[in-house]
Amino acid sequence: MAAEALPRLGEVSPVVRLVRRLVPYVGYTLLITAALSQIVPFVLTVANSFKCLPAVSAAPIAFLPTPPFFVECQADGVTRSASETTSGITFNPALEGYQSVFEANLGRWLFNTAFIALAIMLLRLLFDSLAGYALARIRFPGNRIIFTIILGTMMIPGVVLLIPRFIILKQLGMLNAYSGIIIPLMADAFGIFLMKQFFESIPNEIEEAGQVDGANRFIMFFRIILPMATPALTALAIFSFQGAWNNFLDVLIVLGGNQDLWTLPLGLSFLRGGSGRTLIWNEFLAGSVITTLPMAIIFFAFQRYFVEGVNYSGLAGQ
Amino acid sequence: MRLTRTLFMALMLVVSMGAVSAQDQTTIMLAGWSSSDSENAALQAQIDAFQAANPDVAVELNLVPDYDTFMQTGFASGDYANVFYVDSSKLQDWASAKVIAPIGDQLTNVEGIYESLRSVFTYDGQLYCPAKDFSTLTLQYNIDMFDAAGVAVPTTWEELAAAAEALTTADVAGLTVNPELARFLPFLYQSGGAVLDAEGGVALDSDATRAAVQAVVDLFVNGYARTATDLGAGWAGEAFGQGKVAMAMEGNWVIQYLEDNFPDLNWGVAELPAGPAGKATMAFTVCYGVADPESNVSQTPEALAASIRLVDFLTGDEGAMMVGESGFGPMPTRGVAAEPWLSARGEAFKPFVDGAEYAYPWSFPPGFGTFIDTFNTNLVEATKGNLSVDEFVTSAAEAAQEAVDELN
Repeated sequence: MAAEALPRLGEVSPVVRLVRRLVPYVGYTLLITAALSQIVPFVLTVANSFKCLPAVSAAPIAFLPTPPFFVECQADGVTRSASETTSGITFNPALEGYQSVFEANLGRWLFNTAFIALAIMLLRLLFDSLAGYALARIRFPGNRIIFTIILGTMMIPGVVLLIPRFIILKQLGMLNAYSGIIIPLMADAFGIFLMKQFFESIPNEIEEAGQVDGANRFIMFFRIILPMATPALTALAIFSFQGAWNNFLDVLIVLGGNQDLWTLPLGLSFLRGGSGRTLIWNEFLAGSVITTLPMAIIFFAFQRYFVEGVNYSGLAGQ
Repeated sequence: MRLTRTLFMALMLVVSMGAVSAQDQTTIMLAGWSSSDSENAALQAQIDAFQAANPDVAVELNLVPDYDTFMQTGFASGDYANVFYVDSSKLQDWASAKVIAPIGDQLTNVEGIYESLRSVFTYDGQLYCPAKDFSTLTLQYNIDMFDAAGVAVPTTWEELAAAAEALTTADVAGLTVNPELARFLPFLYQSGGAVLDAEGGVALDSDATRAAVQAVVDLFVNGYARTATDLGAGWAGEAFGQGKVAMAMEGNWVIQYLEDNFPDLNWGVAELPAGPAGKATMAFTVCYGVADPESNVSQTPEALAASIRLVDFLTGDEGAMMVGESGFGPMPTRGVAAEPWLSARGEAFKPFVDGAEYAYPWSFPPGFGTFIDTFNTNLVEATKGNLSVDEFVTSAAEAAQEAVDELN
């Protein structure tokens, strides 16, 4: 008798069925909330960078651009009031922020950032893979000790090295020069470690086959081993480029003394201002957009590799 | 071949000439942080005027982001700018660390600088550096709201409380002021109190302090004063500009901000209301520090002399006049330049200048950071009614005593 009260196999109670039907919606709601929390700030950054200054203060959440486009923010030398360029939800886009940010030398900072990030990335690809290969494949006295020392440098917090590095660069006359930021950062322990681990996973037989065919070490490295290491090289390239693009502290110490050598992070911090400077929102946000855009484009173009890189290295955000 | 050689010779000549003239010229670096674009341009104009009069000195102006980190690295390495901005709150730290040299006695007509600004940069009885420019706190009020409520601009604490009450509505607070030491000190001085006495002992535990705290707490507990955050604004100037509040207590930086961001706002400026002991305000100021040759390798005897000449020019009568005529936010440090500043900026801003006569400096002995943090945290609690006035004053005096004990 009691068994009849139990539901038959495959039949579920209405409550469970309701819960099951609701689960996807709960999931969607959570995902949409999470996505909005990331997207809304970005949309507002872009929208506010295109507003006249009074409109930023009066209607920071206005996000719909409406014609007339590219209005002037000044009329006869007088700043136009917020109500003339925004309705609270819509706004007339203006280029004031972009004009003033380019007057503030942004073009130069963009070039510097790209140049430094590219140089550091290319040099790291070369030196990290050479060093990683040597440590993985070539037996020489002190091999293990050198690797341990290189790994040991990863344990030292970067800020500790700031002042010694500043003093050494000063003595070498490399302050306020591209070389002062590129040379100290052209090889790094993490990259060497990453490459060494990868090269060790490549079977020895491949190199032995190369040796039989008469290839020397360099031919083997550049023609055979390096092309096989594309996943590791991609990961290294992405991390290096991103790290160099966003680097603030090293650049401040080495290049802070010459405005023409600044990078975008320094420039943005300059626009944000210190004591005594009021933040000019549209100018600052225009700078943020220009700083973010290249990285965003690179990310979307190489999204697959980014994810692979993170998977491969197992060290997201290094 | 011949052409190549001639070109090469010409090039060598140019290079060697460059080297000769570089030897004759002393290059000094002036480091600071960026202010508004017009202010940066005015400083560059001052430097150009100096170089025109002193062709033997080359001045590199270097406005850096994250100024404190930049300077601290320089101090640690023993190689930093020859002349650099020193905020009044940093003076005692940096003077006791001997990174700036006292050059007060080598300046011309130093008496022309407001007395209150000289005292800010005096440490151990020596004037270390002349003030570059300064800002004072005043009362900004929304003229439309005052007219609508039929209230007169307050000149005393009683009038301030009455005006704040009359102006407070469901949407608008009477006054916005952050419960923090930098905005509380004017109340303390207006009631005749002080944090430290002349001998450096703690003077906080007094009836004057209790009266000042009571006045501030009353405004908050009754809902007539609210913080900017509470009003949904980033800072007091923003809340005032957005019309969420009828009065604010900010400094000169608010002028350009309100003109740029809220061109329609109808606002006025008045001196801070006087307390039982009279008028008082705060002066926020920055000086041009000259690097001490003992701790800076790039401060050679020639560079030191050139640095002093530069600072003397920038802060002398002529330099102050240039600051005044450019008419940006902060004011020139000499009384003679007050008129040009007012005519460039507008007579309505006279209360900012008047404050110079009775302003107290924003400056503390080294190691007072913890005291300021404790003070601010507890003041917030007191304005919420979670801490009685007596409890608050006792805790503040204890925190100050700890800082003083640490110092000795």
